[in-house]
Amino acid sequence: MKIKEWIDSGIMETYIMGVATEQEIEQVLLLKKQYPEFEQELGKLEYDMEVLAQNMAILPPPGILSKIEHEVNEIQLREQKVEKFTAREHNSNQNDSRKDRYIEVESESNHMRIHKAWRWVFAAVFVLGKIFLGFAIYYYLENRQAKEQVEELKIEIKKNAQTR
Amino acid sequence: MSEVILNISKEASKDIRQFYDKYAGMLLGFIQGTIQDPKESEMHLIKIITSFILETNLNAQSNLSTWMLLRQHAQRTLAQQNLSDGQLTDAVLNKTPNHPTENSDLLSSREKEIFSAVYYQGRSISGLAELLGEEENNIRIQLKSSIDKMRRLREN
Repeated sequence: MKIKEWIDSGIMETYIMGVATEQEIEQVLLLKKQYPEFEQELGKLEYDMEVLAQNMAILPPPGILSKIEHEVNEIQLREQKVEKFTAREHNSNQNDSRKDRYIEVESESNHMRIHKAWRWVFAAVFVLGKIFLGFAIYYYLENRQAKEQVEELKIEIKKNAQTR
Repeated sequence: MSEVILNISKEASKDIRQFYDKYAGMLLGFIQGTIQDPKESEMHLIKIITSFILETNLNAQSNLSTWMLLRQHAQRTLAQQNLSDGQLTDAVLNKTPNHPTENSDLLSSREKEIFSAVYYQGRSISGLAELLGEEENNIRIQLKSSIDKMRRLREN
C-alpha cells in the first residue's frame, strides 16, 4: 500500500479517536517512523481535533479549579500519609531484629476500651438510679409516717377501750 | 485557596492552572456530549482532571497529544461507570461538534451517528459495524469523511 492510500484509509482517524486495534496502532507507529509525510499528516489531524474540541468547549463555572486543587491536595496528602506509614512499618520490621537483644515482659493494662455508644447507656443507668433512689426515700418516709399514724391510732383505740 | 493550606508546590499549582485554562472547557464540552446533566458533568470534570493530573503529573503538558490522552482518559473513566455505553440517542447525535447548525447540514445522518458513537462513546469500529450492519472498512471511511468535512469547514 502506498503512503497516500494509508492516509486515505482512515487508519489515522481511528488512531487519533482512540479506537484503533492493537494491530492498527502498531501499523500507525511503524508508518509514522518510516514516512515523514504520514507523521506530518498525523500531527495535523491531532491539531485539528484539538481545535475542533476548542470549538465545542463549554466554559466551566467558577470554583471548579479550586475544587480540583483541593482534590489533588487531599489525594497527595493521603498518599504521603500512606507512604509514611509503610516506611514506619518497614522500620518496625527492621527493629524486630533488634528486639532479640531485649527480654520481653508481659504486663496487663489496668484500662479497658469500650465503644462510645455505651456512654448513653451509662448515663441512662445513672439517671434511672437517681430516680429509683428518690422513690425509695419517698416511700421510706411515707411508710414511716404511716407506721406512726397506725401507732397513734392503736393508742387511741386502747384509750377508748379503757374509758368504756 | 491559599498556598499555605495547599500541599501542592507553587510551580505545580501554576501547571494545574495552565492545564485547566487550556483543557477544562474542552473537556466539559466533551463530557456534556455523553452526560446531559450539567451538575453531573461538572462533577465528572473534577474527577477526570484530578485523576489525569495525578496519573501523568502533567509531564506531557507541552506535547500536542495531551488532549488526545485526556479525552481517552475521560472516555475510559466514563466507560468504567457505564456512562458512555448508552444507546445512540438523539441527544448524543445532536451533539455533533463544532457549530451544530452548520454541521447538521454538512454531515449525513449516518456520519453524525458514527462520529458521535466513536467520539463521545468510544465505540470500536468493529462494534459499530456489527451494530449498524455495515462493513468495518465502510465505517472507517465514513468516520474519516465526517472528520474531513469538519476540518474543511474549519479551514474555510
